[in-house]
Amino acid sequence: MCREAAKTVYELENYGMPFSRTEDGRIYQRALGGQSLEYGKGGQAYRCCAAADRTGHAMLHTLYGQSLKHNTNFFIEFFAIDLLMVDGACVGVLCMSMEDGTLHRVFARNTVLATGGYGRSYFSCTSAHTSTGDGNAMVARAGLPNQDFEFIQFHPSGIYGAGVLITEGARGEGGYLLNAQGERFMERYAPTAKDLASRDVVSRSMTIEIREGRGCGPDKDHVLLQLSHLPKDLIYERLPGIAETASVFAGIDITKEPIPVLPTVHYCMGGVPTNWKGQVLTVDSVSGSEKTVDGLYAAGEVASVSVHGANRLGANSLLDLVVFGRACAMDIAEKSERGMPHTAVPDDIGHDSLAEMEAIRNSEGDVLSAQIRADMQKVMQTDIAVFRTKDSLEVGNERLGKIQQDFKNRLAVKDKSMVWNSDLVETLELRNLLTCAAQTAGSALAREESRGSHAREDFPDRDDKEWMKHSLTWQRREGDKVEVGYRKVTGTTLDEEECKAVLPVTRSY
Amino acid sequence: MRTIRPGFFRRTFASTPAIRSSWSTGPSPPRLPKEEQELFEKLQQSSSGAFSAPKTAKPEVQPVEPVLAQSSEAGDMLAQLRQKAQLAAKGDGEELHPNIRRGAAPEFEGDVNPKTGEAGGPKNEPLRWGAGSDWSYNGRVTDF
Repeated sequence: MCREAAKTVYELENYGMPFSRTEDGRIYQRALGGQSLEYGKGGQAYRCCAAADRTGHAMLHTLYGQSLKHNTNFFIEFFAIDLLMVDGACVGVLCMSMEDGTLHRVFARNTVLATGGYGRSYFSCTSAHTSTGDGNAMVARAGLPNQDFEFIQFHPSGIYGAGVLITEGARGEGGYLLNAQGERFMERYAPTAKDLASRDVVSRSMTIEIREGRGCGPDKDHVLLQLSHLPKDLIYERLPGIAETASVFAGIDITKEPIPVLPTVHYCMGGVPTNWKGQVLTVDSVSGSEKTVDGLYAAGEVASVSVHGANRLGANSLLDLVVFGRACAMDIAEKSERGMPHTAVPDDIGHDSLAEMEAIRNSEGDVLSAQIRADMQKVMQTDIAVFRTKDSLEVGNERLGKIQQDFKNRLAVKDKSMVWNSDLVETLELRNLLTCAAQTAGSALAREESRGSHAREDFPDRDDKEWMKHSLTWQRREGDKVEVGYRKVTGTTLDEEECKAVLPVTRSY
Repeated sequence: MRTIRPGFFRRTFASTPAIRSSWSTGPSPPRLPKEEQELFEKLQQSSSGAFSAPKTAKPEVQPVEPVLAQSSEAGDMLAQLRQKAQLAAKGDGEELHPNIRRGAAPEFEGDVNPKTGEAGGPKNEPLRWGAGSDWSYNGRVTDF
């Protein structure tokens, strides 16, 4: 990723992406936390490129323009239900057109998954409503493993309900967190740093307060970030724009009321295991060795290459996506040509997925899928979030098991049509979320150490001897027991001459 | 039936004596009696858009003496508020109400950031609290 980063940025820039420039016309780069020179010993590095305040938006439109240039066919309003596999190789996708209710088996020599993460399995997340782990679940139902699901990145102050994150600068400028008793609870958890403690300490403290019953609101499930004690001028001068954000997303006047906040999911480091070319990997059940899955690639948050490890650094998500998306494209271009034949497939391929979908569509239980989803999100947010102990994880696993059984047996889908059936589509998305949630809970319980974003109170230290390995989880159908396996971490670089391997070092604040 | 004065429809319009424009009145609402029409047109001329005080801030009516004793502080604050409200309007009729909550004001005009020389960059520095903070716009974090 580091080697190809510059080339990828240049390629995007050549497509016309409007990066901001320095005076002499080169791309302007900013410093962002965690980026350093000399492997951490050389001070701050300035590497972050951006395009005004809308880098993702600019990139989307640049690439869309390029795709039109190459006559790409877009199937809009299609929902992918399952992968079609023949002898362990991927031959295509089964999908449903929501617009006219037709089902399609799309055959392709190469399928690239770029479906995003599964933030929506938690109650509070910054992801869009479509972030439902569709790619991860399709891969799981095809019998392939997912990697490192227990590593989920949280941010301490996300607005309750909206999921929008409030900057930590608000606490830096004098704001503080309150529980239901009006107490500045950070003083108890971090007596010196108080509200300026590091992100994970703050998230953990907030979660403990909520778990112990001192949360605010009718469900006692969030805490309050107070800025109203600060002088108005200070708020408008040092935190410009925060009044608008708070009024738009929380509906409050920041100079009079506190903002309701809780730890919010921002990124899922785990995903479909791939190699550096973007090819999906699996572990052969017989020999235990790794091999690539033919015809299947993955890039972005759905994949786990894994460049982020247990905790993602800032500005690396977009970079990961573009570099490995490009890697998938280059590998596919190398191996394929226009007009190559498809693999022969049995006539009834995809029929079992269809049967499952039919069963879901005809469900006549008593619990709506929205209720099951809400229950799952609450369980994940309470038990399998920032604060993890053996007890909380076991309770969480058990509750998730019950919820999965409810999904299998008591589900009710009220809308029976095939056209624009949002009930059915949301239920299929819930099925995907449930398997992601179950695999997250399973791998979190199994990993008995603290590493990056997976922090356990009962095993607070990092254990490189025993646990320096990737977790792999399998779950074919909802409600099945999650099988957990492991895979070695690749400790060497692709070319030791070009760049020596960097040994892991303990992190100290 | 009232007789219409000859030349009524060919009236020339002049708010200041220096400018003389002669144009025939096209389709328009019925004109008010002379004094009221002149007053209306004068107010239109001196207006600077919605939600703002007029350009020539000569009050037509004397300010009413307040019944309650007003402290000088309150008077100052009131004057400041009025001034803020005035300054907010630029006279093009497209202004927002001064009390509308707006996002952060842009730190510089034009394309080039005067402090760092960055062209085409964000108008408000996203890393407000330095490299160790989160990347945010309007208090809303997008990356950390």
